[in-house]
Amino acid sequence: MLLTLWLLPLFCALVYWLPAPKSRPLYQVSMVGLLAGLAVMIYLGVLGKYPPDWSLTLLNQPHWLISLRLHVDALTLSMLTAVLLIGLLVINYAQRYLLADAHQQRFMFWLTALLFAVFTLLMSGNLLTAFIGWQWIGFNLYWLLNHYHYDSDANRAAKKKFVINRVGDVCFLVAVSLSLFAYGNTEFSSLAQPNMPVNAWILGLLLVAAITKSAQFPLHIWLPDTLQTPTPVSAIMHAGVINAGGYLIARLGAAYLQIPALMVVMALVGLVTMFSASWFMASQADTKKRLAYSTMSQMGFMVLQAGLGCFVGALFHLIMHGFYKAWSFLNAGNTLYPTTTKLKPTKLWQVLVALTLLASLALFAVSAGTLWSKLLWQYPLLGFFMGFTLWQLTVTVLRQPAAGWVRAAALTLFYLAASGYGWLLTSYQQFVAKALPVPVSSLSTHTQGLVAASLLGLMLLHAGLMRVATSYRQRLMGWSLRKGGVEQAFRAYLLRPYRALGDRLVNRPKAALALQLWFVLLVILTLAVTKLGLSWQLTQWLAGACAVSMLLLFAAANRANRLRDRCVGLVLGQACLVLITLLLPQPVSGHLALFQLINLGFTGVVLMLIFLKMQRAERKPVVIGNQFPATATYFTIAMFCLIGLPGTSTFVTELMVFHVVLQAEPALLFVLMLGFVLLAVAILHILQDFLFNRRAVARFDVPLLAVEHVIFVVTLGYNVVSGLVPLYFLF
Amino acid sequence: MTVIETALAQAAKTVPCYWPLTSFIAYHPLWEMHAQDFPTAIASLQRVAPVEALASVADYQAAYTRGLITEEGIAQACELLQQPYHPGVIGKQLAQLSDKALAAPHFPYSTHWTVAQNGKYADTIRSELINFLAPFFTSLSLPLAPERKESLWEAWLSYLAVTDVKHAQFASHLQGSTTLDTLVAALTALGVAAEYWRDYLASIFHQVIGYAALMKWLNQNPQNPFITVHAPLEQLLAIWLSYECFVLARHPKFANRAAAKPKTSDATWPLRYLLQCAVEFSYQHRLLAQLSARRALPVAPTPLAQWVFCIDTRSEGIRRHLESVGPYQTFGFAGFFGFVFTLQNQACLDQIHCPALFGPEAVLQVQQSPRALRQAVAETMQQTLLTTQKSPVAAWAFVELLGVWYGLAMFTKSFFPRLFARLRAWLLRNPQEVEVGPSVELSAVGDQYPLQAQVEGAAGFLKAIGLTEHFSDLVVICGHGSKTENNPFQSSLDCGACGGNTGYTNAQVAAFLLNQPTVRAGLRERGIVIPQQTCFIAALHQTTEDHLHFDRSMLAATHKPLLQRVQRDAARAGERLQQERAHSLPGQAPAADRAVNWAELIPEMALINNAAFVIAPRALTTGIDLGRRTFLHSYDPVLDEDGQILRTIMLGPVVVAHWISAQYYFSTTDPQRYGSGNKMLHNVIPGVGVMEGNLSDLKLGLPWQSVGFQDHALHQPLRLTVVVYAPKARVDQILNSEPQLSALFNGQWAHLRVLEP
Repeated sequence: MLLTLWLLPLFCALVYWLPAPKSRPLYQVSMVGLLAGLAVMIYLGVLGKYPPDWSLTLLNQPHWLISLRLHVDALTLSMLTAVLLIGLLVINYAQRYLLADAHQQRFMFWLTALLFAVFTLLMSGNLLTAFIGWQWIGFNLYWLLNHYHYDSDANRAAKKKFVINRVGDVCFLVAVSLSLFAYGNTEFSSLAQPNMPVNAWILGLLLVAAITKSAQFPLHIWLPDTLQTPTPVSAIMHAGVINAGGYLIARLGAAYLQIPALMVVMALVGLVTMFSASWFMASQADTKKRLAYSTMSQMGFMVLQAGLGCFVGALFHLIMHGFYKAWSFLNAGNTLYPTTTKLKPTKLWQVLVALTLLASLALFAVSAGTLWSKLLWQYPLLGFFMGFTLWQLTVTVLRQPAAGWVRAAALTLFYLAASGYGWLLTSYQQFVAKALPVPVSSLSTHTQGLVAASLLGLMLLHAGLMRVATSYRQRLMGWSLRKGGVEQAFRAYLLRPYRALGDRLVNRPKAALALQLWFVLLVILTLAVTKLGLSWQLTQWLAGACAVSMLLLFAAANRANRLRDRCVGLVLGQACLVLITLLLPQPVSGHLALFQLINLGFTGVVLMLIFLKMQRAERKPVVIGNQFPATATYFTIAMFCLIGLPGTSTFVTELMVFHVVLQAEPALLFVLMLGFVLLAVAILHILQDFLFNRRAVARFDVPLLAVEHVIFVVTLGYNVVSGLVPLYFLF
Repeated sequence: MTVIETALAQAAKTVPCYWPLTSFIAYHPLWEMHAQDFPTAIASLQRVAPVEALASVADYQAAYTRGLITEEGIAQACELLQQPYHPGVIGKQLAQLSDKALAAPHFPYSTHWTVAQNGKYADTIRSELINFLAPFFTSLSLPLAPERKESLWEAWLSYLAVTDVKHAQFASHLQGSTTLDTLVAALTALGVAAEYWRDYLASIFHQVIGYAALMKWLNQNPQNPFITVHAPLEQLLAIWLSYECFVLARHPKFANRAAAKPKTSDATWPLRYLLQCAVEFSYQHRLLAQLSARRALPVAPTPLAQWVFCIDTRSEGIRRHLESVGPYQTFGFAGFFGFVFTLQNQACLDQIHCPALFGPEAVLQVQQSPRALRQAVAETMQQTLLTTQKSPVAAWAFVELLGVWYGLAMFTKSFFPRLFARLRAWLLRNPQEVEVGPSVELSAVGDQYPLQAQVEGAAGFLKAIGLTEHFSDLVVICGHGSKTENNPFQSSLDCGACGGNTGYTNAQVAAFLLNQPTVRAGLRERGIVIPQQTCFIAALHQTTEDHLHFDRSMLAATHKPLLQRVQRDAARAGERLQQERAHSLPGQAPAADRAVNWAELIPEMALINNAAFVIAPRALTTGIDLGRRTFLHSYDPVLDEDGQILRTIMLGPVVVAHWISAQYYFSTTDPQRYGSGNKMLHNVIPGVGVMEGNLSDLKLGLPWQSVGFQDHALHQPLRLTVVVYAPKARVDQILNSEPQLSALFNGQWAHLRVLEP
């Protein structure tokens, strides 16, 4: 049951590859499948009974257990329903919207496959499964953002998104390893144990992951660039996918509540993000970028809610914001004409009326004793924002140029809708009650009141300064126009030095030669050390040297001029990883090294075959438009096998290497994390330079023999299989 | 004129003129270059930018295989281009040709950085500039956008002061006493020789062609109701050059790179150009053969009703079908029907209902229809929502408070688009408004035009179409407009002669004035006697679903049965046209769905495949299926002894049709530069237009989805063929006295064919 529900979107996505000349009926099949899934979910929700967990044990060792687990409860169900609903609407929209696209089928496949990845995350019953979904989401989005893969802007945006998210992904992966190391499993429940210092590390790393995924300041810079893709992608991304961070935090709510410091960090990140993004938005003119910054700002509000411990509010906000933002993106063509009327100036009686109405609403809420009122009292900071919105609505209605009774009617309707919101939120809270921890505030009511009061003061001051002090306005304007200067700083202090380092290694023949000789020396030394069993200290130094060499090789692979040189750099860098595993004498390391060597060898074979093919094929300068040739597909899969996408062998290696390093030499952890991020950078850069542009992709357009197809499928398939059922190969 | 002034004026001629998308008007992108002939103009343009002005080799090959290029056409093309003609040779040459699509861009002057750094610096400058220009021009009031100072340059300096202080200092050093001085200083600093200034400046314009075109329009129309900032074109150049000089000052190693010699354009051009001419001549042969082999239907002696339509190519279809379902007589006239005005509406921007060639003559108001309570409340609520969701602080809890309603709306709009459209109409507007758009407050029309102007306008209108006697009881003046949802290019589907608005209001004004006894008395003095029982009414041809809506307010009570009959026939004709059109539209969705579906990118194909302009009485074209490819202007040579009417038609509607045809032409041949690219990526800048993706130049022209489907063009790019049914001497006389017109036809921008009566 659970398995079927989980795999449903995957089947629906695969439907798009069925051969059919007139593909319209296929779309309907896919839609019907998803609708059936929606029906099942609603049925389950109404029934209130959830199917038992489905789990698959991959490895059962004395001290640790690696397993996949699918789990459905009210929390999962509510999010699944919302995501599926929005997904259905967007898929329905895309069927018509992309009619004029010759490669609609490919687009629809990735769009539906994205739902599968989101399902995996939402239904995950432990950290490992959650990570798999998490990483697949990024992978799917990479393809969707790359729909016009020949367009360098689209590709740059997709790469940027993947790389910045990769920072979070690596943190997530380390968190999974830490959990395995500390508890022997990756269950969510282990993280909620009190008085475990390791939890602070795990949850902190997960928080970084959530911050990258939900575009929180300062890791938001990928978000506004992702508009070089058809509108439905923006809709699903801003309405559904970006919520992944919030969901993860809420799912681990009970655990986060144990560590108040993290909660405060969360609340602060949320506050900074919500305000800065709304300023960025105020400096942009075009509809979609304004919407993108609005999303970022809303995610900030959601993270603030989570940081205060009001997880039910955060989740409710996610869902409602999803509806609102999907609507806004899909409706973005309607924004050409300025539509708002001029408001009349505010009068004193209007202020008094608004105050009275707000006060009576608050009194009503308190006397009704609903959860809503409890929330507002327990979280005065949120109450403050809700109050502000109601205030704004009231005053705006009163200032409209309409007859008095028309305004009264409009106001009544708005207040009815507001009470409806209270009822809705209460029902939602009751629905998810069992799955979510009881709301407990990280900042005391008192502190929150103070924060709210000072925010009000600051906002008034800000509004005043904006009117009066030109220099203040100018500064804020400059800061917003530069989007906070984060991107410039990132480029100046990280990217440019890193590239310069790569250039030095690559452009000087001596440096390149030295690097290669050094690698050979490392191999010899490692073999010697493992055979001879020299002192532990020397081994440690050697492992450190290997790790640093790996970084250097990746830096070189990032900048080499020829595709072949880059691939050599990558493979050598990965080989360093094998050396590190060999050097750290853990029970699994020998198997692991062998495992990685085999898989690396297979990937190398695939790459070499592709190079040979391309070299022999005649160079024909033709544009192949938005097609994606088979060779290019194989090449991309081989590249993503090297990155370590869950379901490929490198993923297993990465997980196990972290495990080994944690046991033997935790200091290496950070270098390795950096290495995995840089690996992704180098690989995506290869795809950008040698595949994803109009001129390059045509070079991959070489005819393949049937036997070559078989070779590619088998070699890559072996890699994928060994990634999926790795441990049977390992042990 | 100084050297820089000349260079600037010359360079500015390569820039099109772009109306904001709120009032989309077709414009010939190379209009100001038409003093040169077509090949020369293109060649001079290709020196500064990689402009593509012909279809691809593959397109010509396809046209050749489909028989759209005849040997006769090739022979005529050879004659025009003074080449020897050998039967069959061109076909063989064509078969061997292939597209050199990956040829290196052959524009040499396009700034140092384009040459030096493979376009990297030009891209950087462009994105910096666009980041500033989009907030500068938008109609949104942004709290943190650059301030709109006295002019673009000032605003840019103050923008720099907060984003890049070093550059701000540099720019204020560079600044001369006038902008032209600044230009000279910058060009000298860059080491560009004076003989290259024109090309250099033009190539800069082509780096940000969208905004340059918008600014050109702004300078020609400073009193427009849409954008009110001061932004002369030379300031755009000054800003760009300042960026270049600033980069040069920091990276002096690029300074020594001399501008490269212009490379010759690609080798396929001569043959492709020959084929382009051949395609056009082949089409002309077919058209003229159709016209001469016409089998005129027996025109009913007294038609049941007479119709006046816009010259738009879509009208050809509805006219043909109307004539086939009943005894009707139809006429064609430019869609403003003789009366131009600005339409003021309290709720939104003013609309200018007039063609691009001249300005409005009156200011009219929209008729305020009484609103029901629900409409007033819904309107207030909608306005409140729009304001509140923009407010930075209120927006946070706002989405939580009301998000569920957006979910419901989205669900309905996605799965039941027609229901949603009906609901919204019920809530926000009167049904009449939903179907035909705003109506004119007719009571004030008489005050706005002096009686003299009323009579002259009416007489000119009737004489031009040759309707001066034999009036039937009912004369329907029918404007056209489209119905589409979530489409920033809506105005490109509406009537270009009415400034990208629907022609319904113009029809209303014309019909109203023609019904006035005072006007009719004035007309009688000029020899046009309109019988007492003749009644003029307005109508709208809604081109998405091919529905015809009639304005009954001006109908005499005695004519009601007649109108019922006319309505029935109109509905039948609309259905037939709809069936005919359904074949040529991509996708299978019915028109009723296309009109309201928010995911629809191709609601209709508007004037696609337009190819010819026929100035002739309808009798010449009755009963012929012209495939909705021709503009039809009614003209009776008998009534026009002195040629004045023909002169007006040639100078007005023909030029506008030429612009439309050129816009379709260049949007097809160069969809990224003169077309607005891919509609799926469009990102609206409110009040201005669209850009592609997260940062691009303002997009000109028509989106690819209006001229093509997937990877092939649906529009066959042909330069306009004008067919005139008049004595040759009269046409020659007009051409001799109008050098602009003769330049158009002699310079191969359009073709002229005269049919002697």
